Amino acid sequence: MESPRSSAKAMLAKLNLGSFSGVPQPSEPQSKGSPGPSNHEKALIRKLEEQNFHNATTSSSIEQQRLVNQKKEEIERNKVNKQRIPQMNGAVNDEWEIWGNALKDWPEFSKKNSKKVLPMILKGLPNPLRPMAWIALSGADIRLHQKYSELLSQESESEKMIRGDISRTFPEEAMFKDDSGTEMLFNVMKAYAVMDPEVGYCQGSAFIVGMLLLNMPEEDAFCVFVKLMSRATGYSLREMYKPGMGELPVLLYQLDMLINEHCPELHTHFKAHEFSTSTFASKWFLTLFCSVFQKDLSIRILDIFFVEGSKVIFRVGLALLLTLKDQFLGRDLDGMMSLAQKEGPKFFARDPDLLINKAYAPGIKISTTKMAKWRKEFESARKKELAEEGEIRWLRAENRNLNNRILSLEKENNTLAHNLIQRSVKHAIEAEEKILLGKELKLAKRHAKRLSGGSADEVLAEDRKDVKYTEEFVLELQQELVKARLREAEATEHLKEANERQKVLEAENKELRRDTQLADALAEARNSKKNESEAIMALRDLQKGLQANLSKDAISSDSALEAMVSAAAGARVDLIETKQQINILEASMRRISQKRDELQKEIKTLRETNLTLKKDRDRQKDQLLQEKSLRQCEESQAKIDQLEESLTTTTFPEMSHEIPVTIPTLEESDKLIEKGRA
Amino acid sequence: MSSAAGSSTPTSIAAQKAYDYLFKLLLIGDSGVGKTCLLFRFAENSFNPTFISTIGIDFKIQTVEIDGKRIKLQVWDTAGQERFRTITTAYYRGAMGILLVYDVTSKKTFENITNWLKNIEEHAAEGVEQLLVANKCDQEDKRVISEEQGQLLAVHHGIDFIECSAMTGENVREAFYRMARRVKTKHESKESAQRADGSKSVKILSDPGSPLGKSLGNCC
Repeated sequence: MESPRSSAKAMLAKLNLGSFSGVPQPSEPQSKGSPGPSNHEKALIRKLEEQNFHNATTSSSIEQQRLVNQKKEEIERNKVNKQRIPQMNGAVNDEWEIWGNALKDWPEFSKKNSKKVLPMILKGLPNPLRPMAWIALSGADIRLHQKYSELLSQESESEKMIRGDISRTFPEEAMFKDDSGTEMLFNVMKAYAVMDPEVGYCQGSAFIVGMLLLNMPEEDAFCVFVKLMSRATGYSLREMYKPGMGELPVLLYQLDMLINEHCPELHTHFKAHEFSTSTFASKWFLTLFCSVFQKDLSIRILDIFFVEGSKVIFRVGLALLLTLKDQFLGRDLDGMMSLAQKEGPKFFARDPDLLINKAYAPGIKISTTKMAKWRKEFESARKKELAEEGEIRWLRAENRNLNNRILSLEKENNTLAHNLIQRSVKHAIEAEEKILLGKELKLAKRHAKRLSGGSADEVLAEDRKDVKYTEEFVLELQQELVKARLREAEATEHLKEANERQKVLEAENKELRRDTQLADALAEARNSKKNESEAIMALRDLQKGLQANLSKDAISSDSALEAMVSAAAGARVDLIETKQQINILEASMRRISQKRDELQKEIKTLRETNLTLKKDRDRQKDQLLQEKSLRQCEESQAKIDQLEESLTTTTFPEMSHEIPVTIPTLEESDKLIEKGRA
Repeated sequence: MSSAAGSSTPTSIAAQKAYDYLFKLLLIGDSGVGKTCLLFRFAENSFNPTFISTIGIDFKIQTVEIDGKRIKLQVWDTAGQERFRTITTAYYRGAMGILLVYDVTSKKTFENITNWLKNIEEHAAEGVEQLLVANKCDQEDKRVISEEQGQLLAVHHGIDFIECSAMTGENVREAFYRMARRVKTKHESKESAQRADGSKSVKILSDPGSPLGKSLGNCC
């Protein structure tokens, strides 16, 4: 029996003796000279059966029964071995008894024998007890068995990724070359991912589960893994695997600090070759060395992990580095990587105890206060870094927002300018309509004037004067337009300059992003932000100015020109129309005078006939036909009257007929207006 | 390759070593696209389908000769799972060339290239050489991303493109050589520009920044 007071050192010394023979399987009989301890074995079997019974009351696990049977068989085998190897001691059986006792009520035992626990676990768990011990040590809740099958019926987002990794987890291990083995691994990973969707599946964790599965049934492995992940325990693998993996950098930093503390020379050498803890130790923490060492050693480390938590990872890591210190110091980056990943693990595979003993030798000290201090140190540095990053990100976002604002302002400016142009065009069109209406009025007045006796020449002269005025006006307006265009060009130049400045600022911003000197970067960011806001102000001013300019000069002159051109065109068309009207009027006047001439000729002939008839009447004064000739005279007189009347009536209808000629002109000017609008 | 170590100046290290340049390359891309297999094919010229998943970060060394210069390529291999970016992005800054790998039989890995490019933009040095690498091109029956699609994406982002297969070895050497040549050209033009500046020409072979960046260890 071990004394509860025996120190770790003493235990280690004893362990070394025990492992001297080579492969130290705790289940192997190594007792020295004592008689066959069959009583011990019987007692142990009894205890195991008791334990089994105890377990069966909480869960109906057939596995437990299987384990007990397995243990019975093993003990039988040991008996046979014992006959072959006469030199034995009671240590193994003592160990078994201690473990048997301890596992009956582990929480109670570990509380009462806190100093005993570590030396016990450093020796490694007896193989057959391991599955039971891992459940007890971790405090896994085997009632989760039921939940496990439920979880398996559900789906997880991570399934595809898990599937992709299963064949890449322990590919050399016989169990995982087989479909049933890989299926078990898949099931446990998937069940956990379903149960804890926040963490889901993280690469690396499958190695730990794989190692559990090499030692225990699927359902138990699941329960133990859940416990290892749980935050409530000291293991808290969950924090390391969570998206963001925030815990891992803390652990890597603590390891870096420990290396520096234990061997500054090595630390300096690593730093000089950029051989950082994240390069070589990420998988130490993420797989608890399961992906690094041979199976035997990995299992031993896991044993200790169940009691010690992540402390064992630091210790084993330091032991590896310090043992191979001289080799590390003589190598460059590639050499060190290969030493840490291949040659080192191979070196320790010969004897798992060697590394475990080194890890818990007095040379390696892990002070809880220092670890806490480093954690705090790292976390505050990260917080600061995050805040700075956050500020840069904020500045970047702000920059983007400002750029967007500039764009939207430019758009707004464009629409405003467009609206302004449209309004001006509308005004111009209205003005044009007014002018046209005025012209029509003038024309109508002129018609009236002419009808009341004005000569065509006068009208024509007046029209010409009108056209001359319009041409002069157009020339003047064109000059004004040229000036306005110049002003507009200047404004565009200003805008271009502003844009260039903005571009330069943007380029500066981009550079800034790349800058490693955070302080400088921040300062520059602030500066450029200021510059940018200035530029924006300037741009806004320019936009305002431009808007004003555009409204006052460019736009108005453009639309005025349009209006003038269309007015001039209208005036020209009017002139042509007036000329045509004059022609028509002249023609109709000619026709009227011709008709008048004709009618006057008829009157003349009628008067002549009347005269001859009068002469005839005179000649036949005395004749009986006097009455008749008189009647004829009266008739012809009536005809004259009628003709004269017709003369007056024919002139009026002809003249009034001219008026509708102006109406098509109005319609045409409407068309012109529309043309101008288009 | 255990060369004389110690902290001498970069020039003297270069003089002692059996290479003219040391270039750091980085392999990124979704989990399972075959980054490790590509690297293994390049470094060992064989194919091993039973690799374990890359946990965190790893690297391999291969020395090549281009235009009479011996170039030591230090190729960093990364874990593809998204959450590992916390660790892997620290290695972007020191990289002179980045190979973005996708799997022609998986649409998702191709679509994610855009995200990986974003990561480069955020974390890598400006002007870092980039090469889009389509892996598993031997699996024609399972292919879902055509060569044209890959080419188009590369052109769209202004980067080089190559299809290869780690399994058959097709184009793998070509991919790494092409990247090495590009980095070499850029490095030499930078070097000659420095010489033209009249400044003392020092062969600084690797990026002085720690692969870990500021986030770990090296600050105290």
